[in-house]
Amino acid sequence: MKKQEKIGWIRVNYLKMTALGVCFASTLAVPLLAAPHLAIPRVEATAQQDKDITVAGVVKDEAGSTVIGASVVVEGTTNSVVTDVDGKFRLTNVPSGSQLIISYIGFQKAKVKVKPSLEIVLKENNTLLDEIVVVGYGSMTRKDVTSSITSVKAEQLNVGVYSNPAQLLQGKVSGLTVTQSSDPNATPSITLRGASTLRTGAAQEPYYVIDGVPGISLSTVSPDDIESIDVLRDATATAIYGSKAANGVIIVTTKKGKEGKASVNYSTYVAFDRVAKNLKMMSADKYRSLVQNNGLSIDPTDDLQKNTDWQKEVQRTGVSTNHNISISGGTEKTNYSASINYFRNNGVIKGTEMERYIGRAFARTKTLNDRLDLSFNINASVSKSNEVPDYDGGASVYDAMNYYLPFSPVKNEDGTWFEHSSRTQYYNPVSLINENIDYTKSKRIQATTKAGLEIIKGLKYNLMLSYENEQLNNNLYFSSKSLLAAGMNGEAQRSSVENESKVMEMYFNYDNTFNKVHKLGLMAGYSWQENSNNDGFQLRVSDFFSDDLTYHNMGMANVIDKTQDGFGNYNLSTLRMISLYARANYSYDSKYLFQATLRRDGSSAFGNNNRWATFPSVSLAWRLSEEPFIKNLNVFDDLKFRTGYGVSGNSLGFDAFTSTQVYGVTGWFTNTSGKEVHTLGATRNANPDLKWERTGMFNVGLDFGFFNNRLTGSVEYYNKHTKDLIYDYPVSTTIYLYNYLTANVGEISNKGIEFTINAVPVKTKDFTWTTTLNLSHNKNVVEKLSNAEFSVDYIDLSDLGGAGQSSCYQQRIMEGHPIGQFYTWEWAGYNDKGVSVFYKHDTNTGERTGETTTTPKSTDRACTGSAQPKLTLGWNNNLAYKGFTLTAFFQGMFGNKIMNGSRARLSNVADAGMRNWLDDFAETNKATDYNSHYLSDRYLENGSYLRLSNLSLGYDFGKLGNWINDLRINLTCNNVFTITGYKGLDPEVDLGGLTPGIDNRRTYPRTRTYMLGVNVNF
Amino acid sequence: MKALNIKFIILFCAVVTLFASCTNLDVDVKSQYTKMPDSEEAIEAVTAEIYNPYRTAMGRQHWMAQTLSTDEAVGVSMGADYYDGGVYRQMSVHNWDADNNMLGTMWNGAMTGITTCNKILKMLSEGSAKDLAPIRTMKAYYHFLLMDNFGDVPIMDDNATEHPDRSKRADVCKFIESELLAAKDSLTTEVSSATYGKATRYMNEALLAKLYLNWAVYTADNVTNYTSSSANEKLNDCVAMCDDIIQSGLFALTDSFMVKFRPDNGSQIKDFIFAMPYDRETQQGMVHARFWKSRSGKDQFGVVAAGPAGNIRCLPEFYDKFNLPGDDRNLSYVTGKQYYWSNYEMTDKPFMIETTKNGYSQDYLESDKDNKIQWQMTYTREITLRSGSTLDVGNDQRGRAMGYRSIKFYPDVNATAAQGHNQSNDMPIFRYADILLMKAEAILRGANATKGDTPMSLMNQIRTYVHAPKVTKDPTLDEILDERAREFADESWRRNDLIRYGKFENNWGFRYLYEAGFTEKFRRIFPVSTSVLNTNTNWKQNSGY
Repeated sequence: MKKQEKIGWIRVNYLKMTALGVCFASTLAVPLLAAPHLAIPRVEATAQQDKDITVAGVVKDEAGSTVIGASVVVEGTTNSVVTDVDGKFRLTNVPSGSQLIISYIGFQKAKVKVKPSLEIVLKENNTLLDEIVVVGYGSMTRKDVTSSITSVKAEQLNVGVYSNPAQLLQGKVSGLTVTQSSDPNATPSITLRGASTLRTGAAQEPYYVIDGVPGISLSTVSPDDIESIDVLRDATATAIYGSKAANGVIIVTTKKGKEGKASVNYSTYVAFDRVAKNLKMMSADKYRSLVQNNGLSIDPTDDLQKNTDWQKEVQRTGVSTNHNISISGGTEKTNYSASINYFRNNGVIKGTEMERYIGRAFARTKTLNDRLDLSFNINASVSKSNEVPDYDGGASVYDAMNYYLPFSPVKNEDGTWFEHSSRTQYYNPVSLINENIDYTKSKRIQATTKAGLEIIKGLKYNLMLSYENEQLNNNLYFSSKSLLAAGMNGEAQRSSVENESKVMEMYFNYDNTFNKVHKLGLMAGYSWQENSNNDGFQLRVSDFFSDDLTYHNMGMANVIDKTQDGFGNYNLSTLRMISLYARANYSYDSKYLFQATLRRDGSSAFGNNNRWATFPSVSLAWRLSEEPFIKNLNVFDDLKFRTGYGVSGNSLGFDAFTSTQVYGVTGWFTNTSGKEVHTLGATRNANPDLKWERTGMFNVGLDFGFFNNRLTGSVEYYNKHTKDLIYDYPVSTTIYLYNYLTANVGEISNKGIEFTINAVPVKTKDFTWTTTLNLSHNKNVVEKLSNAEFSVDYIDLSDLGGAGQSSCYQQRIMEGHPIGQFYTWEWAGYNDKGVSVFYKHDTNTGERTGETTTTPKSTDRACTGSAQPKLTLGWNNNLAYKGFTLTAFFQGMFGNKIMNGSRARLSNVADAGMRNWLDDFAETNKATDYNSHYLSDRYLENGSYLRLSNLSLGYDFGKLGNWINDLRINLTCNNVFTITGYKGLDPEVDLGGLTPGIDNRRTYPRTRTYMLGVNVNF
Repeated sequence: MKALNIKFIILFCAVVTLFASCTNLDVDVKSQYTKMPDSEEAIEAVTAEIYNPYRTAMGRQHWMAQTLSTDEAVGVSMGADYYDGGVYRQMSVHNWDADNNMLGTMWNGAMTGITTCNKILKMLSEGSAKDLAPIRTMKAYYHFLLMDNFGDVPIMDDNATEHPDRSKRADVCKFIESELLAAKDSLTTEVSSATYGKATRYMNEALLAKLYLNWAVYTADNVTNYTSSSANEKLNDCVAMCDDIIQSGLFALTDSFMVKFRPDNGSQIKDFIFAMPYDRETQQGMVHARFWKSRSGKDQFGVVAAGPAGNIRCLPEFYDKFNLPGDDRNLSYVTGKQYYWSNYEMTDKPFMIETTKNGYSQDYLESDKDNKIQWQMTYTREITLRSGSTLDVGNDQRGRAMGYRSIKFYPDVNATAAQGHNQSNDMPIFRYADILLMKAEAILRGANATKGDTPMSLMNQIRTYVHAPKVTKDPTLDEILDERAREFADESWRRNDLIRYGKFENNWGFRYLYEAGFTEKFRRIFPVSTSVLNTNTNWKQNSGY
């Protein structure tokens, strides 16, 4: 029986699109559910049902090996099984005449008509070309992509005690530089194709999109739930995200239920973290004899004849665990998944902990005759962090565990902490951990609703609504015994901050192929986003009767801190961003490919005169391998040339009111009634002309595949130029109320080459070796720092402090040099009195005068190196033998400099008797050298390293009895070894921000991790 | 299926409506004022902002620049500690340069003061002369700070939108005079807690007196040409300003000397005509004790949180001026063997430090050098350097104890860890005692004596209240200068006095380490900070730098 339902037409005239006068008017005729070919036949129950049969079969690959764990489903039902260890399956109650669908990761889906006995051969996916690549607002097959996009599948992601997707990606994507710390509460820094802004934080990081929801928090996603990550690297790929995309876009896709039998998956690991390397400090005896032999003294109140290993006192073996349980399943029309994740990471420094719970639920169904695709997703997470004091001026556990004198005890005989409180910047690290609490609890909830409506074949309307709410509660308590709150009888501080984000995206997709060769894709959409951040308050009190209640009862305090700092300066800041975007793809015969995108973005953060900006891109690709003259060579399986140019912007990392004149509290005075009240004044200069940073990127790439695609790869060159850089420029107070104005001035360029190669050197029935190598080189140059209105010759950064070196800077941003340019004194050895001398420079020319000095001035500095690596490398090897897999992943950086400020600080001759020294102090320093600790190129070290960052051995048991579909275990070691000449703790120092390449005292020790993981599928 | 049809139409209309209306980017600012509140209390709070901008500089950088560049004190280093790129040493040996970060902070503080005054003048353009007078007076005061320290500075019109040029120092001086005179009669004559630290008629007159006394310095066609005997046409005006203040009867020398500078000082002090109020919690910036107290003497005056720097020391010859028997001002410094203090009184409990013989002196290398000793901290008059290039006195106990220490601004023992080094001592800027001594000096320099006052009678008013011997004849100019040293030590006027007396180039302390400084008269004004020149690229550096 057939029945057609004609719904009708809706005619929409003249869509007014923008308020700025950019209207585009169109007539959109939408034939709703009208096309006759879309009429869905109602399937009648037939008499065939009584002819159920039993099907037995075997699934093999093209090489003839059996495929274990392949899913076999009777089409349109939930009747399914998984192939056993011999690749065999058996299904009962199968209606004859129905179809079986057989699927397995890495193979193309097969559909066969049922027969009592079947042998099914699965064809391998042509993984490279048929791979689905997620692009902004849609997806396409790899072969149709015209821009630079790297996809990393779950099984390729890094394995370790990781809470952040950036850690999973380290070394996997060329051009993506990730640096991480072993601190469980630290966030890794991540930059793509070089820094292109002078602002830090979110302004420098890629933009994250999770399951199509832009700009949401990553901490609601457990690494176990990630299906794949796509990194959009060039502007032609990112331009569709316009103003948010200047630093690349990272799209995370989470696991969803698949059709077939409900599947329950449990994965867990336990990991043991040990400090991989500590700075070797002097023992009590060695220190004492060295000091005394050099005619220097030890304060007897320090030397209590102990030999305390302060590092040992504050360190431990960190035990971390992770449990993730998920259920998923579904039918053709409806699928679902849900998961619970528990993660606990205990750092190697006592008192540093992170604990997180995540719950997710996803449901999706098709309705309205399969034309409306509805899905709901909810993610909730609770994170708890404990941190230990890590402040400037020596008040850091990571600093104090090195500098504290070894012959002092942890505690006095009366049980109180040993402290030497009259020595400034000197803190017992064990007391720092025990007498101070820094506990943060954050809760996030994020919900998404999506609807996709197929209007006519090929034309789809998509709507996505997302809401995210985040609550951060920080609690601090410095006890009455804490030196951090000396004389205060206990100090407590609590703050509570809420952040909220609302997103609506809607877009139309149209995809169709005409005459089999003209493939056309059109997309147009609208996005509205409002972030209301920093909505909170704080209270800071002190003077308690005892430490018993810590921060729990603020009312017991006798003193309230009434300064602005005490109240925390939390100001609700609402940022609204509105965008209109469109994309067109066209390909002829999958041979000539073209793509153009256009996005118009508005942001309330910018000055009234410049709130809107347009970001276009265009790209072309030519699949040479489809041309007969290449095909006839019989060399290339794939050869594609790509090129494009796009413009993206950067409006992230802002206070929403940056361009607005605001007034606030500036101080206190006594008013005419004799009352002490606040004074009011402007707290920011307005800049109504503040506008978007614009990044233009040219990209050219070549993708290739040889030997039946066993060797594939790509080479890319890019040239990225950012102008109108936003920075807080110093301005003359003769005109402005403030010394600084947030304005658009400078320019930065990044040029680079990236090289990726994937190869399968060995492939036999039982043994496969796959290897992936990526190399990237980026050259970062600050092109301009001035314009007609604002000018600075340079920006001095990295005031690392240290005795006698307040306000002595170690880095400088200047035209023609990269961010992270070291600008330091130049060490010239020792003078005849054994004191370090430094080259003098002419104040006018900057050239060396030939003289040296023991008292260098700021004008005696010179360019001494760059923190930017010349080459970054990621090299993955995967060996599979039957059920065993062995993964070895190397990662490295070459040609960069690190300022080893810790070494300088711990080599201060003048600290004799007051702070500990490095064990090799006597060999590397002269006792006469009172300048031993002066930061200069003497402490600038080569930061090159190669690390075996991951070595993992896994075994897949396959199906175990009737209960377990699959069981895998793996043993992993992270940071197995590091080859480097760097003398500090670890050469992987933060390369984000404006002061990359600094290792200065407060460094969390790098760990080596051993983990055992188990994954069971029921 | 009609129902479905309607639903789709509704859905589509909704979508289209969203499309058309959602391009609005005007977001409410809910958490900050985008318009200044205009209640009476708010306007008072806005106007009061004119007193804030120089507070930070006054408490540290201004104080150091005025004090370390004179014979009062020296900024040493102890081993590597507190060399800090030579910022203190530069002041002490007179070879400062434009990169010395004290200068930028001073400039920016005063310049922000001027722009703040201008913005508020604009805002209150309809206001009465009475409303505007304090703002114009403070604007003149900030110009005075800039002019006194940096010479040629821009005269800032209310409506400056482009980078103005710097005006000749003499013109700035005349501009300050005219602004002050214009505002003077509209200012309040009330002196109370409500007008404390604010521009009153008497603050205005005290500033005019200071301007007139230094008139010859400020109006010299070149700062290097000024001599102590340069003619000053404004001396009688100086006396007139002093007289108006004296006649008001609102100020007196009734407070005992040391009490005036304690952390609990304030509007009750009858001697203070104008002061910068400080509060360890809310009005921060006053940090003298941080630099004066010994590095080993953290808890000498009471248990405090912040460890002192201890790198500023009194120069011996300056301390020698405190030689009058019975003079309360002799208590401004602590010398010799040290004791614990409590409640502003020295106790009889010695301040002991446990150390070793070698810890006391790093040069002591005998076999018993590591034997423990109990040493009573003892300040020595002399300061001996281990290294002239860094003014290093050594970081041993002996080096830390060299040089006497000012406790005139008594350490604030109530500052907690959160407040760090901040003290609640208000800093007097114009004092009644200064008015008396300025009048005496003006008469000695040739002004007509008025109201029956003589230099002797004026000086004896001072001598009397500090319980020092009275003088029996008119003092000489040099004796006035010495009296000023005793009276205003650590109050940031010494540089101004020495320049007026032509003695800024004299040899003292460690200035021999930079002998060229004895003839570099251009150092009577500081260079404009590099950071300031970077943002005002149309300006030239002061000559000589």
